[in-house]
Amino acid sequence: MEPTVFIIAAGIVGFYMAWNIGANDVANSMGTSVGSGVITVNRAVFLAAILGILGAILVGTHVTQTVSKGIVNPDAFSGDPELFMYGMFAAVLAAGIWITVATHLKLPASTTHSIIGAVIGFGFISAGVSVINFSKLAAIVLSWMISPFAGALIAFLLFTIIKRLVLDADNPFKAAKTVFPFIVSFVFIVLTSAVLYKCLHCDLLGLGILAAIALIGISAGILSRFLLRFYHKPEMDHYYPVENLFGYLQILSACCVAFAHGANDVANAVGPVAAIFHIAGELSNGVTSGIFQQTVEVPLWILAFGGIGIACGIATWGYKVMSTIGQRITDITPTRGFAAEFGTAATVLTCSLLGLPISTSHTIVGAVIGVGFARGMTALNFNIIRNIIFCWLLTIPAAALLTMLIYSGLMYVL
Amino acid sequence: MPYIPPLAKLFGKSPFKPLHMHVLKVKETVDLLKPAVRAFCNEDFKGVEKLAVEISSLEHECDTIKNDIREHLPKSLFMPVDRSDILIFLKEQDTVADMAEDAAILMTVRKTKGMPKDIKDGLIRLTDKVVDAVDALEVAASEITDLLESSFSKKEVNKMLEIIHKIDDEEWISDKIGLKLIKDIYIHEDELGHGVSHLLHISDVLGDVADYAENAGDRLRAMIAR
Repeated sequence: MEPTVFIIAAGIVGFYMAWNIGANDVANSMGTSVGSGVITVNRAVFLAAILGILGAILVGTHVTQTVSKGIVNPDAFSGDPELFMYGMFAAVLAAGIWITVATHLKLPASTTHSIIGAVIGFGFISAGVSVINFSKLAAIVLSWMISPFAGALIAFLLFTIIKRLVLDADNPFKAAKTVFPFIVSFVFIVLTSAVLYKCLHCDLLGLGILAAIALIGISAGILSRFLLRFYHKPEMDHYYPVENLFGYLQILSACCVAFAHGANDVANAVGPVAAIFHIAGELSNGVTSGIFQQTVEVPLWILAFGGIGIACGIATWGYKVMSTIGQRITDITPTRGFAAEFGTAATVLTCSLLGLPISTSHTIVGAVIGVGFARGMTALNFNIIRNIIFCWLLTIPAAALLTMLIYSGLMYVL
Repeated sequence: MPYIPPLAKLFGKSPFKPLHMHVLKVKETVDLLKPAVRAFCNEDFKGVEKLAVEISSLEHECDTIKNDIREHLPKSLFMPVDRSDILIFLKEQDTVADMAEDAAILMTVRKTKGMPKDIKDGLIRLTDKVVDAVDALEVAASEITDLLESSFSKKEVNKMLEIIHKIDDEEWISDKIGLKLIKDIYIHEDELGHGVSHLLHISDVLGDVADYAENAGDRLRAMIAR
């Protein structure tokens, strides 16, 4: 096949996958905020799209390399790099199709899990079990199991702290105003750490990176403290003004999740595409050997491309999903939403930086349950856990099988 | 194809709002005992009949809400309070309305005439006190909202315990009024004739209304103590 035609096809499939991610998973980042009524669906869509792109560009690369290169050892294909290219194409296409099918069946399938399953399927059919890097795969699967627990633990601790310091206080609103700037500082420190982690040794205006992080966090706290002076609410009941104040924090934490979401999930769409682009580029330059030896930085424009794909998904289909979710969640209030969302953001960002592709949606489910264990939720339906595990067990073989089919089809046609 | 994300599926139907609706309906039912008993004392038996029908239909509405809550309380639902505590609380609270209905129907089965004034007064005082106890129960059940909102803060728990204590107090006073009423009924046993057993039965069931309100309060206590 002409490399340019193939590159365009790969771009389209990658965009389709990115669209899927935006359409299906975005509700997880902004859903609780829409549900608690602190933000309208339109604004949530807008914020999620912008922050999804930013996250993809600023933190995205780490995970991207894992998905295309970590699981399947490309060295096995050094004799025939085109095979690897076709395989990656089949993987993205299969993952995208599986997500569409799962959506039809109303299964809570994760886009992350689909793409990993698809990549495994490709490795399996093309070169056998030996090319699959099992230690890397084990680390990824382990992170899937651990991430909901990590999200739950952080959310549980965070909500317990809010309860002790604010809700248990004699005057909860006053206490909330005191605690607010500290939480803002903390959130900013975590967020800037994630963004600046990559240049751990670089100097910003002569400052060390840690000093810069601390400075940003503390100044954000001080600014919020200043702004709080102008914040007054009539105390009709004790908790209404507290929740109102936490509404701002909830939007902030929802932005963190959207950001982390872009950072983590963009890899699912563009990781394999980046691999295809790299190989096709080298091939058209006449290079046929040594392609896999060097580490490939995923070009920024590919990440941005994926980010825009996610944003498109959010803007088109995500809008619908968000409206549904907003009506279904009325029990979640800003104090709970903040704890759950920030727990999710912290977990997902950490895993992104470690290069572990985890499911944002499963992590936020874990985080909400964590708040539930702190007696923060009125009624949680634990059936969903069984549902998620079932879907998790189904997604890997289904995506792998689909990839094998598509790959065999491609081999037959080409 | 409306995709429902796992996050949305995680949230079950909260039983606490319908629980509040239920107690409001129970209170509405019990409140009608006041005019019903007054009509009975004034020997307006048509009025008693009419009110009993009303109480009966309200009690049926309570049952409907109760059954709805039970149907939406699967074992997989994870709540900040024990599921069985909620179910028992609901049962006790529903029995309050049942007893109110029993009392209203009892007043229709026999036209007891010529009651002495102190028995009339006793019946009315007992009814008012019983309604007070149910009012306190309603305040307590409404407080559940704040309790959940504060995630069981000490302050709200103490507030709740105070209200539950008030239910106990009202029940205790209604017991004393009931006892005095029984004594008065026996004092007038000769003039009342067969009316004695009728009135004893009525006062007994009226007392039960407050008893079950107290039981419901006890269950609330168990719910919040953890």
